[in-house]
Amino acid sequence: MTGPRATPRQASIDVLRAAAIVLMTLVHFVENLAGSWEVVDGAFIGANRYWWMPTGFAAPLFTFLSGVSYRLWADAQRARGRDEDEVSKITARRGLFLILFGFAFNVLVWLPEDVFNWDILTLIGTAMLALEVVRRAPPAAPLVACGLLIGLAPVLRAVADYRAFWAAGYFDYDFTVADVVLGYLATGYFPVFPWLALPLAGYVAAPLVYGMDPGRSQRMPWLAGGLLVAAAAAVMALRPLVPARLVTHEQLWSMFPPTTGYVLGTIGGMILLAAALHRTLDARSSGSGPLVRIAGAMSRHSLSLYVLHHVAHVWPLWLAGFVAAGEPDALWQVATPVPTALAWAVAFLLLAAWLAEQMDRPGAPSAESLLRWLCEP
Amino acid sequence: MTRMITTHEPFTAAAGIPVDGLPPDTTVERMPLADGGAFELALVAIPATDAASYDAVFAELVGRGSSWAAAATPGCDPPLVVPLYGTHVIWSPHRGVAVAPADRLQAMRAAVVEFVDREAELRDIERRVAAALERVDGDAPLAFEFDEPSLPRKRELAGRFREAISLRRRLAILAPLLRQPAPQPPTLAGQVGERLRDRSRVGERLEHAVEQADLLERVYAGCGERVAEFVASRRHAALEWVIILLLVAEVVLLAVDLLATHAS
Repeated sequence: MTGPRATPRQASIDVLRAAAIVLMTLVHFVENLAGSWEVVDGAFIGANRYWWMPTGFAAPLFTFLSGVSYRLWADAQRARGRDEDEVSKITARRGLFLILFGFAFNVLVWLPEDVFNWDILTLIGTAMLALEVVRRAPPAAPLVACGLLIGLAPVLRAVADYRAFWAAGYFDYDFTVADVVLGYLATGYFPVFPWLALPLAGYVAAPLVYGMDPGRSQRMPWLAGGLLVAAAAAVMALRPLVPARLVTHEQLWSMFPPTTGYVLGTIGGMILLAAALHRTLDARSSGSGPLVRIAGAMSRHSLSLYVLHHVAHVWPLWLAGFVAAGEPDALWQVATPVPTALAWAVAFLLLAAWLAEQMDRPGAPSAESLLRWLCEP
Repeated sequence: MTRMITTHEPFTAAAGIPVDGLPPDTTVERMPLADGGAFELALVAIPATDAASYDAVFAELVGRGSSWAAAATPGCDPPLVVPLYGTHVIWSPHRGVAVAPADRLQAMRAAVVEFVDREAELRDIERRVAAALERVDGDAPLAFEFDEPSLPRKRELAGRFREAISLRRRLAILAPLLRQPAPQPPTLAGQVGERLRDRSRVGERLEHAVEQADLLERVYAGCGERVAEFVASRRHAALEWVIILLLVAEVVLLAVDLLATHAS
């Protein structure tokens, strides 16, 4: 018997991450260009329709998969006998790179006043630093941390007066230390409480779903996922019992703020989804089909595509608004009808698939190549 | 009464055992061995003959017996031939022949059975020790330090420790039986057994096996200690982490409360 064995690249993870990119592109193009929230009998597709709900899985998928990928990567490094300190350095550099990259992205895409809106890049950067600590901690530590992150989030939102930070569905903060720190911890778009629980959950779930240990139980991911989904349903059913001062929103299932039911449900759902895809796709696919190949390329360049999809629709929006009305956000959510926004999203996705394959070529510039150049020895 | 190491079935009549080359009145018996194999013992009585041809007949029977014993393990070392007071014992690990006057055969049979039983037990232990020693190099580092990635090997190491103890126990039972002095006054059976033990070097082999089993026991006992220490420290570390996380949560709650008081 040898030490832990390296897990081969899993096509199912690529497919899930590519699905997250598709969902993210659809939701951002449609909601930012056309809007559709709280519209009664509006467009057939959009946030006003309940079948828009799966788009709420995009951010959880990204964050959950960051934990899964990190666990598989760290285990592979260990199996290859790579020095632990070197792994720590790479992890810390990646985390810091993502945080700084996130700030730069906020300034360039959302304009300087939104630099501390605590977007998903700063969350994943923070998660990298947290995972480096968790990697050296006993297995119980991430589980307890997940429980605290999810359980304390509603309390922190209530204490911080979450609603005061949100105006018309957007995080609106002042440039004060208190607002910035509260945004990072509890009130921003992707605050540490509870969003950090998703990468940690991915880190914990990875060996259950993708583990190479022949002695592992095949039922564990189904059991864990099922229990979490059941817990989400129970939390939503018990909502009337929650003290009124802890209730910061009306929805049982929402991303902003991430309700406890939403967090538990998405983690459970993703574990089930990952287990199902691993069982079907990874067990049967050679990874050479065109869809799997494109999903792999998109997955490998998800950071680049995340930036590009924002640049592709937000910059033209700012420019057109500034030209048309003198205000960059004059056309925010009213730039196009929903079908047009949807068509732009599909067009971008086709372009993204092609671009991802181009970025796969050796020496091609991408955010990932920059990350590797800066963070890996 | 011969004390057996393993529980043996009574000797079975060897209806199917080939007796090519041996006299037709030869009695052949089969004895199950500790390693799962079997030992076949042929009892060849020297026929009544005149003194002039006795030596020739005797030599002929010994030659045939040697060929029969060697046929069980072709390509291996030739069988051991032990002459003693007008008798011969021919022994190889899976076949033996006692050539003696008819009135001495039963005494010789008892001596050979006793020797074969103990030698087979020793050989089985040697085989298991050798297999276990091959794994020691891979396991020895865990007797010094045990870590998280090695945790899935806990059961495997426990199994090897049990195996080492089992080998040590078998050696502890076997050693006094192999080292017991020959009965006094000397008997044919006692002397046959002693000669067989000397010629097959069971004494030295036993010492080597004991040393090797000791090594196994030391390595796997060390592994066991490291595992127990690691599991205990892991439990303590988990508890410490829970306390740290609760403290962090408390600090965050306090900080958020203070910041919210001063937020715009």
